[in-house]
Amino acid sequence: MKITKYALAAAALSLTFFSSCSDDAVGPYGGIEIPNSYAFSRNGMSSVDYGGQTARLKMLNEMGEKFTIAATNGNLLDAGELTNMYSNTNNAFSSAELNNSGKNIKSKTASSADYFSSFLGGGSSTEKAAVQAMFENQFILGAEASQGNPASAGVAGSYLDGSKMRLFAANGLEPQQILLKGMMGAMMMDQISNQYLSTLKLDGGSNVIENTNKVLSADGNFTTMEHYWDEAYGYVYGADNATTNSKKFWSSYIDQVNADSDFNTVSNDVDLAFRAGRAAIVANDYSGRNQQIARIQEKLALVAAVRAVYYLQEGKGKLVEDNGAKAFHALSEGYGFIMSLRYTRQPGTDNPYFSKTEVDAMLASLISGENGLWDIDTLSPKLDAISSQIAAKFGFTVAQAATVN
Amino acid sequence: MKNLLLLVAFVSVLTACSSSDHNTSTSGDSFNRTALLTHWADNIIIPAFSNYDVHLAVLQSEVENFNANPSQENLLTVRNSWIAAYKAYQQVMLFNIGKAADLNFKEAADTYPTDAIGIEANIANGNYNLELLSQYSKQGFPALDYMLNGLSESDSGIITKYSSDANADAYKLYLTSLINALKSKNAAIVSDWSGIYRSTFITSNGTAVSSSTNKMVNLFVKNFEKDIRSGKVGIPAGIFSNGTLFPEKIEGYYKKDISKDLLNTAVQAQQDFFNGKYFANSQVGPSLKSYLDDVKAVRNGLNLSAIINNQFETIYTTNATLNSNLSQQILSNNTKMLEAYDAMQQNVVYFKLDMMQALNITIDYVDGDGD
Repeated sequence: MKITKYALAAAALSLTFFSSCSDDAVGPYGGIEIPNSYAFSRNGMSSVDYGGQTARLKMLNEMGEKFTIAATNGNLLDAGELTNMYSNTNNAFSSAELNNSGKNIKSKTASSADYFSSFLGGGSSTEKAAVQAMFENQFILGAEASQGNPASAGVAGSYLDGSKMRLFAANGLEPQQILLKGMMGAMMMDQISNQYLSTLKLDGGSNVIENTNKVLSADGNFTTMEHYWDEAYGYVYGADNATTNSKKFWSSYIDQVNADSDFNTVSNDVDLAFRAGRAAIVANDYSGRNQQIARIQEKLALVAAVRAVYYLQEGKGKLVEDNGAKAFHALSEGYGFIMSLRYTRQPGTDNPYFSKTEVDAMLASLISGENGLWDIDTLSPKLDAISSQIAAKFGFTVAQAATVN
Repeated sequence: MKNLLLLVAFVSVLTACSSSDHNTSTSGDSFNRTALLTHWADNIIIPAFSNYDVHLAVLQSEVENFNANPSQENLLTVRNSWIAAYKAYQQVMLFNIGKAADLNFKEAADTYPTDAIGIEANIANGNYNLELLSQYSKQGFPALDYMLNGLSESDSGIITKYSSDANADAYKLYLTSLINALKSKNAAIVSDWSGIYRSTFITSNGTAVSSSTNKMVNLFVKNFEKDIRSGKVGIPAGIFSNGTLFPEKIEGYYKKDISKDLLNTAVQAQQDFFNGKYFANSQVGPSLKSYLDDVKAVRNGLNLSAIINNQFETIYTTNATLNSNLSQQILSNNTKMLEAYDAMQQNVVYFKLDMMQALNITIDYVDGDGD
């Protein structure tokens, strides 16, 4: 907890300053009603802006599609092109909108202020560089898998999964899923929980006094604090399309977890917390804001955990087909969601729910067999052990997560 | 004092609502800032500038000798004087306040990578004014590096430039101009400190943003973060360029083997200042360390000053694993550079988050990192 003089002054002025720290019911803030959707305005114009996040989610989506297209058409995947897309160089995207956005996803990979500048949560620049290199290696692994060979134990190649063609590395992991699910952690989760919802970041510089006095940023119709909050929101919902009702990345997975009656409040929990926190910022209620931060950090981590267990168990049930290959897509998704646990934030602490060391051990266990996932005879107990370890930490059962009912 | 108790009360209430475990707790500030500033001026800053001045004078005379007789022996001598002066510069770069700041002395002395093409153009057309902002990348120690180590692959080739080359006189003149520019800027700084500025500096003993203590603390943090951590290690190691490496952006690029030495010299100067060590000997006076101890700055139950000094030791240990030529280190194993960066970054965190808060000093510079 870092408190600037300004934050103290603002907090002292805030009527709710001495309110209890328990989870109060969410109510209107200082006369500010919580809107039914994430819509906030000032002077008759929207004050919400998360265009940079939308651009980055679109970039990642387009990169994922490259794998699908190469697999489906039996074409070579171009690793160099993906490397360019990752750092947004050489106009690698299909649209000028993305090429000229000035944004790239590499610089937001394992790059949050709290974990990778302030080194909370065990982070470091060496970790950041290693994570970025790991993602870039997926492009090479994907390219190797696209050479036209059928995937088999220890051999990278393609596999027809029902009607879908997939690319597997030699160890059975699917580079596309490592990229997509891994970046949901290393970029989105990290930026949300450890950057834009970090009190160090939100209250940094003169953000508190500026927000309290509604001094707008030079960049738009918002205070810096409001904008940071929007940026966190954008990493969850920024690629959603209301017209087609299509949802991407965390927004989609929150709903998929919510479809399970064991977790059927999580969609509303996250969405409401974002709206309530934004309203609290408008109303200068910083302790109210911090309660919503805790909710979001907790619920997003829960979604990652539930989904990780769900996919490990789904994979376990498919190991008997096609020498196990039928299970590898689910297991790769599970692997990616486990990766994302390293970037979670336990509310009120400086740390993730699972440390980097713990997460690395789970990941290593998954592919510890000879030829990785292909070693299907030893896989089930590992899947169960990891599932139990994750479920226990979050207080649900493996059975609750395994079946969506 | 009443205000302070109120602050403490607010802190504890806020803390109750957040349970972060990196709180820096402090109590009371009755620290004698006048004594602190006096010690800084008389026993650290002024002696450091005087020492730098002596080294510049030696370099000046060695340049004269070399120009009069561009021999191999004189080249080696002038190079050694350049290294000694460059190290003396690392010990004053922190004191970018008063006349030094007015004259942009840091930018003129150590902008790197230097603009070799621009230097050659200056020499060729003979029409240059080193006082202009646009000329900072064509002067100072990095320009001297090029002039003494980079004009040719071989020493004999370098000596040729100053002897039989058609432009030899212009090369000699440029070398003289470079050392003269450094010398005249520092002469103005030394003279200001020995004149009115010393008392101006010490008299500004309050707690305002513009007070000497607040400015020096900001310079201390900024110098370590921007000029040492980022400039000497982070930027060449690709920290700020999405992993694109810049081995050519190290300090002392043409000499090749002094970049680590310059880095360690700068870090040591930073630590010595933190501990209030006299420039000339191992005595200590009032300091950021004693100030932090005075306000009982603690992090996770340990004295913040001890944590910071321990981290300095970690930095030296990490730096010891580096190649003396950081360019070479970047090309052979950049992870070691990242580790060196991280060791320094950890102290940036202690300085910016813990020390500044403990001393109730606001950061007066910002890092832009929004989108």
